[in-house]
Amino acid sequence: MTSRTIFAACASGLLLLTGACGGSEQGTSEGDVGDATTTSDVTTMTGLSAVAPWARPADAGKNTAVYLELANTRPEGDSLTGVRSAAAERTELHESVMEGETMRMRPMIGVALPSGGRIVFRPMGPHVMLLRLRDPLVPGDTVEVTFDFASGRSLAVRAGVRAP
Amino acid sequence: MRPLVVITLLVLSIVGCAERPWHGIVRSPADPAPALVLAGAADLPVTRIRLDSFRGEVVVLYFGYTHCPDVCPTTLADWARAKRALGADTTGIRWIFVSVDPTRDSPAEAHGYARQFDPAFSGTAPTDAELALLLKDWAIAAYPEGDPRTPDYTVAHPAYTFVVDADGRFRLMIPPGVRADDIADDLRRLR
Ligand SMILES: [Cu+2]
Repeated sequence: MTSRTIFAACASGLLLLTGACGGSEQGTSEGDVGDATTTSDVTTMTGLSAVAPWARPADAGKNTAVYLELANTRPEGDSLTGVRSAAAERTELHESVMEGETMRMRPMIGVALPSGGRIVFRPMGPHVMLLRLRDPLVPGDTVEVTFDFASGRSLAVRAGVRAP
Repeated sequence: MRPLVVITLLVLSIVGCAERPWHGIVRSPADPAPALVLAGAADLPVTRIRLDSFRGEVVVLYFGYTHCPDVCPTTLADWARAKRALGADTTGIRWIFVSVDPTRDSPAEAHGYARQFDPAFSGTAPTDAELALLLKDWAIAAYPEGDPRTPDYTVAHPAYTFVVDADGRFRLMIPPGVRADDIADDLRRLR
């Protein structure tokens, strides 16, 4: 099954998605980067940028995901060490992976972001997971997440909530 | 073998090859679907499921959990798009989300969750005993990961959407990532 092969390739490449898995080749028809209905933020700070962030609606107490692209245009490499958000009890970096016929999630720790590289968070793949939302997220809301990097930098991103 | 038979077989094989491909994985042979009997909530009859009572309808099934942040909502959103792609006439297709996380999901919660994606979807959750039985009958895996005593465990669950045809045969497994239009295309052919 080719879609499965693509999926496996995407999932296993621990996310430094340079090209192949990054842009248009996304299995599902949702979550296209740059969709006009997101807040279309491009948040930039000292060469780190977040493109087209969006979050899925969910009820209070439930879990949801935030998707976006992080890019590093600095001459030096960096590494994503964590993420936090006041919107949820816990916030983690996760990756959905298909193993055989089973879907699992596993935590991602320390994702490299070399100079010129990017990390793509997308449905059925890497995602920022918000655990136990303090308030419901409904379309039109925004949710703020902050990414922390090994260099000591951090990047606060506001993601628009939209139904996929 | 008589020439006519040979020619007929030849023609059939060519026609067979020319048949347009399915987007899901076709199960061959298409055996009768395993049983799926869930008591549901007494005060919410829609959560009571007897798969063999849906003969005459195509049944689209997913085994997931409502705390699933990524894969389950992506799949159910794809279903909703597929349903819209089928147009106004969506009779003959039943869409059912079955939770494999009875610790956190009640039948009513699972139903409310499924309905958020499309009001025609239904959901339910098994008891622990029903879950053990359905995993065995369907030969699928679902298990908590992380500490199940905390509220934040995740649940490994089947990746595929399962499709049972109107004759009750387990016909298709639709992998994650199949486009909604293609899901609709497969369902149209089965209905
Ligand atoms: Cu996750």
